[in-house]
Amino acid sequence: MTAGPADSQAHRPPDRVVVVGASLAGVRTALGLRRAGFTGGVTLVGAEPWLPYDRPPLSKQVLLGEWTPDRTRLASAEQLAEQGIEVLLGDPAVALDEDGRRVLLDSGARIGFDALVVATGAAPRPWPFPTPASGVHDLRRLDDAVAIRDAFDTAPRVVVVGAGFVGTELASAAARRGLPVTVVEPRPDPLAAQLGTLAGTALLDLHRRHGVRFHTGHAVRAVHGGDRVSSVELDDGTLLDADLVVVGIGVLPNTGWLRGSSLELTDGIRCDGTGVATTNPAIWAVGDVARWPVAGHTEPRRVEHWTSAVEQAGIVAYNLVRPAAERRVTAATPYVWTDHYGLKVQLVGLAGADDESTVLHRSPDGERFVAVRHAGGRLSAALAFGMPETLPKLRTAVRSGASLTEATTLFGPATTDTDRYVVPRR
Amino acid sequence: MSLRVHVDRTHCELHGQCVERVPSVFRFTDGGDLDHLAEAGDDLADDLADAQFLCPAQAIEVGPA
Ligand SMILES: Cc1cc2nc3c(=O)[nH]c(=O)nc-3n(C[C@H](O)[C@H](O)[C@H](O)COP(=O)(O)OP(=O)(O)OC[C@H]3O[C@@H](n4cnc5c(N)ncnc54)[C@H](O)[C@@H]3O)c2cc1C
Ligand code: SF4
Repeated sequence: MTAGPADSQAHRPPDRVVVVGASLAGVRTALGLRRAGFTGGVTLVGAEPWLPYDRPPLSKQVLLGEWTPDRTRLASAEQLAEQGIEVLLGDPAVALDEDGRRVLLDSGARIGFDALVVATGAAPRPWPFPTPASGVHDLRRLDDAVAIRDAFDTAPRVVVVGAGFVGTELASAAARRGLPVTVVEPRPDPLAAQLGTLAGTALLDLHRRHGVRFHTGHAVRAVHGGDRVSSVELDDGTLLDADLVVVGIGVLPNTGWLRGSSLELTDGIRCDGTGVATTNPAIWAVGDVARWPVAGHTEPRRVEHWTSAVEQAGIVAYNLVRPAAERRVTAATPYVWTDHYGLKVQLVGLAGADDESTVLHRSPDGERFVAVRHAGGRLSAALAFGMPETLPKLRTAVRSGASLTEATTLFGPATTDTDRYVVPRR
Repeated sequence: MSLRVHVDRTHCELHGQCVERVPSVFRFTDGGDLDHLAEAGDDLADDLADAQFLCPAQAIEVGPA
């Protein structure tokens, strides 16, 4: 069997697809291939020992104790076997032999492929200081979430380093468990990068009302403790007592095993809008590890969102079995959500850091609202702060590149339900 | 033949991915609830499978009516 030149690849589906990374993007690609009618071999390779599971609940339902960890599972062993997907877990890929079209695993196994899908995701940015042996955690994997949830039972004083979505969701879970929580963030305006100053401030206020304290504008200088963590020291000398420290300072794409390959690896694997890597037509990338084009942005970029991973997996599975001329390109508007104290913040589109915010609509109690982000009079993104029912309108507006003026009429005088089509309720 | 559509309300988190993908079956009420047809035509099988795929809460069930 020979792997043909790049253009014959386009006309014949590959015989064997290897997917590296057995989490959301990887498992959805593998299952998607079968949905797309692919009958060749599919192998799913994963570094973690567990069957694919979902990460968003880790900082939400799992920390709150509402879900047992197995409810996060994305596919059962039976389902994967039924679909004819070979699954190799606990055996990370350590190198790629591009010319020989083989992936080398940690165990020494070599897996040949006609097409490779890289779905190795991202891992927490390494912490720059020495840390005590215990009491300091990341939150990315199932075992991290279980360890933090169990640590909550010992009534710790919690310090969260980094006020991103994961850090603040964790703060929300800890505060709901009645624990004293302090969030440390070097930026003066936490969450502004993600949500804009307006909604970022609103979310911060919600946290403060639940007793969470924030130390902003100062970075961590050291983490103290012997065996166990005892305090966190900021660069202004502030000492925060801590029994449990959770670090959420962002993630980096897992591309180390691809070093030396032709792939463009600067902050993720660069792909075109069909998901294929720019330098090798037999290699594709999906999810947090991949840099795809995003509407409204000139450079492809990583979007660390659940729905992007799923959308990309669907597109790549579809495209893998089709000739180049029939391939689909990404069209979705980025979407991400985050949960705090039972309130859901939902964001569509990708705003620039300096885009302005305008509130379009508020709930009668003023607690919930809809806002748009815009630059030069055009919408870049929109967010629903505790108002999920407004999402369809917001999506349409952002996708169509509506102007701010058009957007302000979206939530004009209240309409009644009767002028919309009627659906029987179950 | 047609398809039975069911959303498990204890799982649904109102992400609206289904509303986005198959607006002829799913919608939000002005009150903010998810509403959907209980049955849909076979021609929507692919779209409904997409909605299932896209639902972050894995809340959508589709089966033979
Ligand atoms: C706590 C938490 C909460 C989140 N909440 C939300 C949310 O509310 N909304 C939202 O939109 N997104 C959320 N996200 C982001 C979302 O989970 C990610 O976008 C999604 O997991 C991306 O999936 P992925 O498969 O691309 O990458 P990952 O989930 O990172 O999976 C990659 C997999 O590849 C494996 N791997 C890495 N290197 C190798 C190797 N060399 N060989 C084999 N396997 C390897 C990893 O072990 C991992 O299992 C959250 C993430 C976290 C951590
Ligand atoms: S996509 Fe899923 S979670 Fe979202 S509204 Fe539809 S059923 Fe509910």
